Amino acid sequence: MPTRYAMHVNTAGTNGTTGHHTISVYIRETMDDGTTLDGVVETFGIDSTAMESLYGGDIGKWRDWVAEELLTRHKRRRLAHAEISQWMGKEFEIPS
Amino acid sequence: MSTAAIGPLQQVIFRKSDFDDESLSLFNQQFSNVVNQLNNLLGVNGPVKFANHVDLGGNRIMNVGPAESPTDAVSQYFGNNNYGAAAIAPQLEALGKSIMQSYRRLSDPNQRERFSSFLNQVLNTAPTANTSTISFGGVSGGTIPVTVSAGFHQRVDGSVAVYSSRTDILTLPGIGIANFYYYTISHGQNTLNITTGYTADTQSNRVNASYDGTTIIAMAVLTPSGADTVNSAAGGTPAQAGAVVQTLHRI
Repeated sequence: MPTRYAMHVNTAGTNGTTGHHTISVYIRETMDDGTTLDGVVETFGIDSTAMESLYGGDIGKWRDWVAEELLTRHKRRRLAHAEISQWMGKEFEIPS
Repeated sequence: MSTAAIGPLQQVIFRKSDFDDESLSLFNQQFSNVVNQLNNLLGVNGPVKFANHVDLGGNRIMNVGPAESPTDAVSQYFGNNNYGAAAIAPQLEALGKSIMQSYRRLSDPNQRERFSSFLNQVLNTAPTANTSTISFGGVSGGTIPVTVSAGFHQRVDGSVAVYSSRTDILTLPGIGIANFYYYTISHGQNTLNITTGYTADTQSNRVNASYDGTTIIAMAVLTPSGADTVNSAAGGTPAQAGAVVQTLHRI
């Protein structure tokens, strides 16, 4: 079974004065052996006017965009982590 | 009922002839004086009065009743209830009966005020710093994604708070207008807040966005055509040539 990704929403709220929508989210990665790994928590927001003009008021489209953006960042971090975890104990020559 | 201070008993030398009187009048008179003075000392006739100080040689006076008159002695119990810490705390403390709790020790890092009004007459704001940068995505449909990176917020005492990144899709302003957004962090939080609705970066707007317990981390400036990358800034943004925002106003 391939690795699966899901976006977990920690908190969600709308500002009572400005109507600005905010969610706090992270990626939950489920490996083929069933173990899970939670990604870095990030905050996303959108104002009401942008929601209307960009997504025609469809909040689900914004959520999809957030999930895609978050997944991209998550994969980028995972690659970087995999790389730097190889560095421990090694020595790197500095070009002079 | 009270008695006069006890006067000294006079030494009377009896003679044999003093007892020739069958009524023993002299002896009985003197004996009566002694009995009366002993009763006075026992308090039978009212409060006991002494003609000199009382030296107890380190012993206690016990079972003292509550003081009533200004010159009355007080007991340990009466003193604690009327003059002890719990009794005077209401006159000294704003927060209850535990004495000195509303006072602060100098240089104690564990005692923190929640409000800074007492610093209103201090002319400058305590410096803080953060490591965030601000970036912008492409303009689409009159909107633009704005991202303030995750970072570290260093307070004036050297402590550091970590916070996560924040990305907002914001609407570009109309012709001739610029919109200003302040990204802030509140004490005890690890996520950024956004304050909207500003069309100028002014001192009062910054104060409104960074009230007690909240600090500005970044500022995004949007124009009708997109991001103003010269004037937008976070703590990690290098100095920008041509920035309208004055140096002291920058993050």
